[in-house]
Amino acid sequence: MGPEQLLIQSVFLPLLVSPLLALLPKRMGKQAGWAAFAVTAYISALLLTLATRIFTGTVEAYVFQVPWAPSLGLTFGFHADGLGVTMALTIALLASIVAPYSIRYMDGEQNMPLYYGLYLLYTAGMLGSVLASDLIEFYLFFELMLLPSWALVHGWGTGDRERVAFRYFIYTHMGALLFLLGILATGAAYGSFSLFAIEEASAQGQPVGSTAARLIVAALLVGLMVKLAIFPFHAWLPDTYVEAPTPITALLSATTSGIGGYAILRIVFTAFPQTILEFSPGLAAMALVTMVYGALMALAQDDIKRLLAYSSISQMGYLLFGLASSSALGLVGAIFLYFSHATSKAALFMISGVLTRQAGTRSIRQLGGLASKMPYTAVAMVVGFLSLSGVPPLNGFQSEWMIFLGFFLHGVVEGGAVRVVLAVAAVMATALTLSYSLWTVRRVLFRQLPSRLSRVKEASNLFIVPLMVLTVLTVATGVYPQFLNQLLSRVMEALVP
Amino acid sequence: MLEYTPWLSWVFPILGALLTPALARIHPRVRDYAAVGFSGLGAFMAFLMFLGYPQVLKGEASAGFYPLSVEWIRVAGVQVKAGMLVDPLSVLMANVAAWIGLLIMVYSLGYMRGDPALTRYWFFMNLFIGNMVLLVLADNLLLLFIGWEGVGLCSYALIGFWHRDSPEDRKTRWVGEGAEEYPPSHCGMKAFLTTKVGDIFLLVAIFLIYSQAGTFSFLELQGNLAWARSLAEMGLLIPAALFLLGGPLGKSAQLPLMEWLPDAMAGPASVSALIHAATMVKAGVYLVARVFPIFFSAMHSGLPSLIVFFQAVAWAGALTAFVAATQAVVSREIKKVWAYSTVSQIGYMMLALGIAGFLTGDALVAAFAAALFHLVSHALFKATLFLSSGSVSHACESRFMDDMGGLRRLMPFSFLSMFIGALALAGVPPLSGFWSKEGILKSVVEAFQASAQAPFLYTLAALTVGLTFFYSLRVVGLVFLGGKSAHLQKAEKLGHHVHEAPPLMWIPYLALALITVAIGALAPLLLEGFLSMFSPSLSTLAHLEGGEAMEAHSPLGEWLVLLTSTLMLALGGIPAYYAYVAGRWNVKAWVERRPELKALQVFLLRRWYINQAYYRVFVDPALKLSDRAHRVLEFHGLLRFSSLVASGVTTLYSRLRKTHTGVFNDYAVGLMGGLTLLIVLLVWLGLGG
Repeated sequence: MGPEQLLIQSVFLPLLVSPLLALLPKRMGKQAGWAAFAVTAYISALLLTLATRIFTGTVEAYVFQVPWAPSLGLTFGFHADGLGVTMALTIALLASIVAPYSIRYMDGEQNMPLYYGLYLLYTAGMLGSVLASDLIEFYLFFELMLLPSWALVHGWGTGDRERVAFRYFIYTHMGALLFLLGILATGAAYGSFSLFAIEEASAQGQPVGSTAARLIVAALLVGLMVKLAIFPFHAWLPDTYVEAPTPITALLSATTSGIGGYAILRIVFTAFPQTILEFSPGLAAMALVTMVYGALMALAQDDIKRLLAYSSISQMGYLLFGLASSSALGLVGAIFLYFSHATSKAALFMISGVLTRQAGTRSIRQLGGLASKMPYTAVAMVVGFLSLSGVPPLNGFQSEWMIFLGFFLHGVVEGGAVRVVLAVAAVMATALTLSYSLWTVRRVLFRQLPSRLSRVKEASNLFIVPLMVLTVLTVATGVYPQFLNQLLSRVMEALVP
Repeated sequence: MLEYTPWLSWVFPILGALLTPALARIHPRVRDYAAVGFSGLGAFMAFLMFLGYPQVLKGEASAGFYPLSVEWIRVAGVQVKAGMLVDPLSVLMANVAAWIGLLIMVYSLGYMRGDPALTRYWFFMNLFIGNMVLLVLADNLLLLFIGWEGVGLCSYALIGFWHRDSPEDRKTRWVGEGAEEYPPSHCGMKAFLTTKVGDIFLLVAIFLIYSQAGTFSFLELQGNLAWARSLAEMGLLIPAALFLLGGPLGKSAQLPLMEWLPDAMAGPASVSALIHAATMVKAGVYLVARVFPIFFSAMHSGLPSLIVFFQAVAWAGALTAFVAATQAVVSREIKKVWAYSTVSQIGYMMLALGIAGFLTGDALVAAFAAALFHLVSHALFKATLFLSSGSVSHACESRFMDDMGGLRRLMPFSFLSMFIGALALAGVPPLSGFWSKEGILKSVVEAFQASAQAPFLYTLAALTVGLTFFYSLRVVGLVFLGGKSAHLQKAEKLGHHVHEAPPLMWIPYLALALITVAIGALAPLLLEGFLSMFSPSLSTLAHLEGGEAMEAHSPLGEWLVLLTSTLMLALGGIPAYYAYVAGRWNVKAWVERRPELKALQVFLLRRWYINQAYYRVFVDPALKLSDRAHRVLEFHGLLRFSSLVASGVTTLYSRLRKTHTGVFNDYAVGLMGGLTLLIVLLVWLGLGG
C-alpha cells in the first residue's frame, strides 16, 4: 500500500464503518464500541507510520489530490505534512484511547450502536479537517465534526441536554458561517480554494488590498475563535462540556476545540502571512484575557467537570498566545500545547467521569481523601493537573516554554514595550493555573476521607488502562519532546519568516 | 568510565525512584534497602567525580568541563544541549546533596518504619536527590530549571506526605498555632505555589536573557557579554537580573517569599532535614553563586548599574537573617525554630554573595568562599538538628517544646548531637559554624570602604548572631534540661516511657554532629582548601578592574568582628543561660507581667503578620474575585445574553419551524441543500473574481 492509500484510509475507513455500526442491533453496543476502538487504533497505527517517516526525514509530506469539481476549480485531497500528521495522530490516538473508556462509562445507555456510529463519524470529521488540502473540503469536514458531536450531546447528554446541544450548535455554527464567508472571500481573492495554490500565490504577495485582507482575516479569526472558545466567544462551552457525555467531553475539549487554532495556522497564516502578523498584538491580548479569565472562573467552580471546562478555555488562551507569538518557536509551542493539553485534559475529564461512577458525585465539596482509595486515578489526576500547570518534566512544560520564549524572541527583538509586558503578564498568569490545579488536587485527593466515601474503590481496568496510557504519554513526551518538535519545526519555519 | 560519573550521580537516584514501585511488589524490605542502595550509588558516583576530575579540587578547572554533552532539544532554530558542567562549585554542591541525602535515607529506614505509604516516600526521596544533583550539575539554564522544578515537585509531595490531615495527628503532623495552624496538605500546596511565584520571575529572566544571547549555557553567557549590553540598551538588564533573583528568593525562602518554609515543617523530619534545611533550600544560594561570575564580569565591563543586583542579594539576605531569627526566638515548635533558623542562616549566605559583588581582589574570593563554606557547614549541623528533633518529637509524640523537657538522660545521643549542632549553629568557637560565620562577617566589614550600605548590613548580621545563640540555647534547655513536662508525666502514668531512638536513627545524626566537630577542628585548613579551590576560577574576576586589589582580611576588620561577635554571643547567651539552662529566670511569668513584651511576643509569634498579609492580599481577594466574577459575568451575564439569543432564535424558529422536524435525516438534507446554495454562491463569486 502506498502512503496515499494510508491517508485515504485514515479518513474514509471511519466514514464507511460508521453507518455499519449504526445499523447494528441495539444490544450489540459493546461490540460496536470495540469496533470503534479497532478502527481508531488502526488509524493511529497508520498515522504513526507516516509520522515516523516524516520524522526520520524520508519524506517531507504526503499529498493526495484529485480533481473534485474542475469546473469550480475545486480539488479534493489530503495533505499530511509534519503539522497535519501531528494533528491527525493526536486525534486518532485520543479517539482510540477514549473508546474503551466509553464502553465502560456508557454501559447501560440506550442506542449504543448509533452512538459509536456517530463517534466514528465525528472522528472522521476531525481527521478530514486537519488533513484537508482544499478550503471547501476543510469546511465540509469542519461541519461534519459539528453535526455528529451535536447529535451525541443531544442524544446522550445529561441535564438540559437538548437545549445545551442546540446552543452549542447555534453558537459554533454561527462561527462556522462567519468562517465560511472568510474562506469564500479567500477563495475569490486567490481564484482557487486549493491550499497548495494559495500557498504558492501568497508567496508572491497578497492579491488583495490591505483593507480587504484585514476584513477577510478578521472574519476567519472570529469564526475560528468561537471554536477555540476565546473570551468573549466562549459562552457555548461550559454548559456543553458539562452536559455532554463524558467521553465526548474529553474529545471535544482535547481534540475538537484546538482545531480552530490549527485552522488559523493552516489557512490564515498561509493565505495572509503579513496581515496575520498585524493582528498578532491584538490576538495576544485576547489570549491573555482568556488565559486569566478561564483560570479565574475555574477557581470558582465546585463541579469538577465545569472547572475543567473553564480550564479548557484558559488553555486555549495559551494556544492562541503561541499563535500570536509570530515566531516559529511559538507556533511549535502552540501545536505542542494542542497535544499536551489533549493528553492531560482528556485524562482529567475521564477522571471526572470516574469520580461520578466510583464516588457518585463530581462536587468537589463532597469529595476528599480519595488518594488512598484510588491510587492510580490519583496519579493520573496529579500528573494531568501538573502538566496543565507547566511543571517539568511533563509535556505541558515543553509547550509552555516554547510558547513564551517564542513570544519573547519576537517581542523583545522587534515588538517594543507592549509585547514584552504582554509576555511577562502571560507568564505570570501561569500562577493562576497552578493555583486551581493544586487546590483541586488537594480538595479531591487529600484531606480527610468523608465517611460516606469510605467504601469507594479504585475503578476497573477499562477506566484505568486508558488513563495510564495518557499519563505515560504525558511524561514521555515531556522528557523526550523531540519527536513532535521535529515534525513541527520545519512547517512552522516555513510559515513565519 | 569516570567521565560518566556526573551523569550517573543523578541518574542512579532517579532510576531508584522509578524502580521503587516495582521492587515494592517483590518485598517491602527489598524496596527499602534498594532505595537506600540507589542513593548510595549516586553518592558514590558524586565522590568519584573528584577522581575523574582531579583538576577540580586543585582549582585548575577554571572554565569547567562538559562531559558528554548530548543534543536534547532542537526546535525552530533553538538548540539545547544537555550537558553536565563540572567545576568546583557544582562538584561541591553535588557531593553535599548526595552524601547528606544518603545519610538521611539511612535514618529514614528507622524513622519511617511502618508507614503505610513507604513506596511513595522512597519514590519522592530518590527523585528529589536525583533532581537536586541534576540541578547543580546542569550546564544551562533550561536544564537547571527542570531540576529546579523537579525538586519543587518532590518538596510539595513530601511536605504533604501525610496528606490525610487527620485531626488526631494535630500534635505531631500539623504545623503552627491558632489562626495559623495548617494541616500538611495545605502546607505542601502553599510551598509549591509560593516558590512557583519566584520561579515565574526566574523563567521570565531566562527568556529575556535568551532573547538576546541565543543560548542558555552558563559558560557561553559568561564568554560573550554582548547580550548584557543589548539588554541594557533596552533598559531590560536590571529587570532581568532582579527577575532572575526571584527564583532564588522563592526557593531559598528569603524575604519577601519566606513564608512557605516555616509551614513546610508539616513534612516528616527526615524531609525537613534533607530538603528544607540541607539541600533544596540551598539551591537559591547555588544559583546566585552560579550566575555571580556572569553578572560580575558584566558589571565590570561597562555596566556598573548591575551593582543593584548584588545590593538586592545582600539586603534580602541581611533582612531575612534578622527577621527570621526574631521569629525563631519565640516559636514553641521545635522544628519551626530550626526552620526559621534555616531561613536566617541562608540569609547569611546570600549576604556574603551579595557583598562579594561589592569587593574586588582576594576579598571577593574570600567572601564567595565564606558563603559556600557556610553552606556546607550549615548543611551538616542543621541536618543533625532536624534529625535529632525528629527523634525527640517522635519519642514525646508532640511537636511542641512545652511537651518535652528533661530528656538529657533519657536520650543521651540525641542530646549530644543536638547540643553540638546548636552550638555550631550559634557560632560558638571552635565549631564549624564559628569559622564560617566569622568569614561572612569579616567580608561585610571589608566592604565598609566600598559601600556605605555595608555598615547597616553588618549591624543586622551582628544582631542576628546574638539572637541565634539565644534561640539555640533555648531549644536545648526547653527540650533536654529542667524537669519533665506535664505532657510527659501524664504519658508515663499511662505506661508510655520515653527512650532513645534506635541506632539506625541516631548513628546518622551523631555522625553528622561529629563531622561538624571535625570540620571545626580542621577549619583553618579547610578554608585554605576552599580558597584555593575557588580562587583560580574567580581570580580572573577578582582582578577585572585595574584598581586596588583588596586584601582578604584587614587586621582592623578581624578585631572588629571578633569584638562584636563576642559581645553578641554574650548578649544572647547569658540571658538564655539564666532562663533556659540554669533555670533561674522565669521568662514566661516575666512576659505575662509586661504588656509591651507580651505584644512583642505576639507580633513575633504571628510572624510579623507577613503570612497573614499574604492571605489577606493575595489568596482571599483572588478567591472572592473569581467567585464574584463568576456569578456576575458567567451566571447572570451569560444567562441574559443567552436568553436574548434564545428569544431571537425563537422568533427565527417560529418562522422556520416547518423545517425543524427533529428528524436527523431532514437536517442532513438541509445541510446538503445549504451546501448546494454555497456552491452556487461560489460559482458566482468565482465568476466575479
